[in-house]
Amino acid sequence: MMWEVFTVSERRVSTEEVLSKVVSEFKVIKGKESINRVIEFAVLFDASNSNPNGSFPENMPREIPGTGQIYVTQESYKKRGKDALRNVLEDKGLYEEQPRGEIFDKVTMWVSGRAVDPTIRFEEIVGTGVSVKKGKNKVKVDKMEEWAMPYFLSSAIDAISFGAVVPVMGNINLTGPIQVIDAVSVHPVEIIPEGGTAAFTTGEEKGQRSTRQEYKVGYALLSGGGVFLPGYLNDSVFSSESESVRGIKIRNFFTAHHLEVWIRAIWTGFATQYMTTSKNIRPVALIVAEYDGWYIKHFLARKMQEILWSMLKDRKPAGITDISDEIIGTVERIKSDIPDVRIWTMKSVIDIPGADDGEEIILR
Amino acid sequence: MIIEYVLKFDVSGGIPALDAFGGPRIGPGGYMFVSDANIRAWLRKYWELLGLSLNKSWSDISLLSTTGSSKKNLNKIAINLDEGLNHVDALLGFPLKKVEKGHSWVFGPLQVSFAVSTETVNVSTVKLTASFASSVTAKQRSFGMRYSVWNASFIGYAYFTEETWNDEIWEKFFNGAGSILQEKGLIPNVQGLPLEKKMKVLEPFIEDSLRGALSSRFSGVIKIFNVTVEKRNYQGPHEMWDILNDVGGVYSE
Repeated sequence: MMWEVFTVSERRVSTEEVLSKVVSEFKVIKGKESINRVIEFAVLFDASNSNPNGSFPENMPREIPGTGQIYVTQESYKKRGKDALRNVLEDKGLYEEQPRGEIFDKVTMWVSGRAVDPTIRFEEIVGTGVSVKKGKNKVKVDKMEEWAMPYFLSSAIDAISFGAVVPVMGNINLTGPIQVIDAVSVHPVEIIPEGGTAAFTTGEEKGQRSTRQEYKVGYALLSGGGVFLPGYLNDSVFSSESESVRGIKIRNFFTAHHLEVWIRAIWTGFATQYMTTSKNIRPVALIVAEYDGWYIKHFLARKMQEILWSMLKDRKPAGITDISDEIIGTVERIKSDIPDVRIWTMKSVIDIPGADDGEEIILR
Repeated sequence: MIIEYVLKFDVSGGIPALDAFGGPRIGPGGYMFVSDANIRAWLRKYWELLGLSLNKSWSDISLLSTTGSSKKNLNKIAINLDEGLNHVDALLGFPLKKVEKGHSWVFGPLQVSFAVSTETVNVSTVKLTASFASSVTAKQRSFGMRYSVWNASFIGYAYFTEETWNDEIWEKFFNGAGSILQEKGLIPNVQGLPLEKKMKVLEPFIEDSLRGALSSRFSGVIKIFNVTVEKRNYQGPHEMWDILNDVGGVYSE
């Protein structure tokens, strides 16, 4: 196996060390032992007078055919979390956009939001001309080879957590331990077209006024969430033609901090979009359940969607103002199957004292 | 005695499985299918997650079924009888290396049928802004796409019968793969038990494997929820016949 022939001289980045620097301020929910357990989480957030996730290329709110519900793709709200975490890491000097294989105490992200070619991005992270040990000798490697995967994995924090498609070196797919579902509105949502005068005139007719057309939702309460599957930390997470890549275990790179920081980052990511013109989303509640086991036993996020749908589908959007009690009631109802569940919720959907403040309720 | 497991699951926000070309698998009449090979591969994947060694690993299977098929060496996957019974996926059957008494395949006691959606499905495409710019025009936005069905239910079947193997093969299995399952605590100790009782201890493991195999199918594209595995005596897949009754005129009278 290549991984044994070429050993990376030192552990390049300890993501645990980097993350533990942010953990203290970036309020974290659970302890370190969580890496050995299956964890499910559900996150509720709402959007008002905005378009929480536009379709491509029409930029309309995404609709579920037939039910009147809208949804926000998992990719979209994972991006909220990524942006939030990146901001925190950058503030603390722990983020490097282009580490080029030489940074030892910073992390980066595989998909950082910049329009860049994947091969170029891979080179930016791994670097070329890095010296690695081959047997007893040090060898300088000048092109992208499989030896680079541990470098890549130890740096790109989003790839370790959510998985990644790495379309270099013969298409390596990596399934991450954290998998999330599309957030679905728990009631039918009306989509409102909105026309207006455009801020800028068109290029062709400079003297003439032009118009804009966009779509938004009046109010939508959305429920998403996901699961942390420790089994995916095994070597079989890779699907690749390359034997050597399949041998690398992601367990070496993933720590319990990753999950906790990501959940918290998604919450914060929603909060940072509050009062923005385009999205205007805010976090409402976060439910975390954990138990021993190897597979999803309950699927909390889906259950939340179904129960809240049956409760709220006939209610007018104006009537869905303070749903904290309903959420707690819902969790109480399905709690018998879940040994340990925690809820993090806003006291009221209407009354938000500070976007980042919440109240943790522990049900046992 | 044939035990029938009825597998029921929901799919929403994704699809249950991809076909060989990366698309959704739609059959005649607009029903969505999950192939039996898919479900067997999920079982193998789940057993790998439990840390069990396999005759054919998940990765090997995915390699054989997708890319590089011109390079595949079928001799690699044929196995001697004794060696094959050392691995838990012998339950699904495996190809024999030596053709003994005209047989080239060991049928396993666990057989899996395909699964089908209980109603016709509408596959919608979810278009996304791509993570990366296209290599041609680096500054331009490009887009990605995945498939999705919403609120679809599926039904499938699995069968377990001890009669597929004779006593000799069962003994070999319990001395090989069975002893590994005991070591891992996945089945109780069967030492000294008569053969009939040994097979009984395997049933809960198979039920758990089916549930685990289905409920751990969860990633960016694949979204399986609400898995139930119902055990019953053999009745035949009559629920599926009801669903597919009129499809293609095959079953209509």
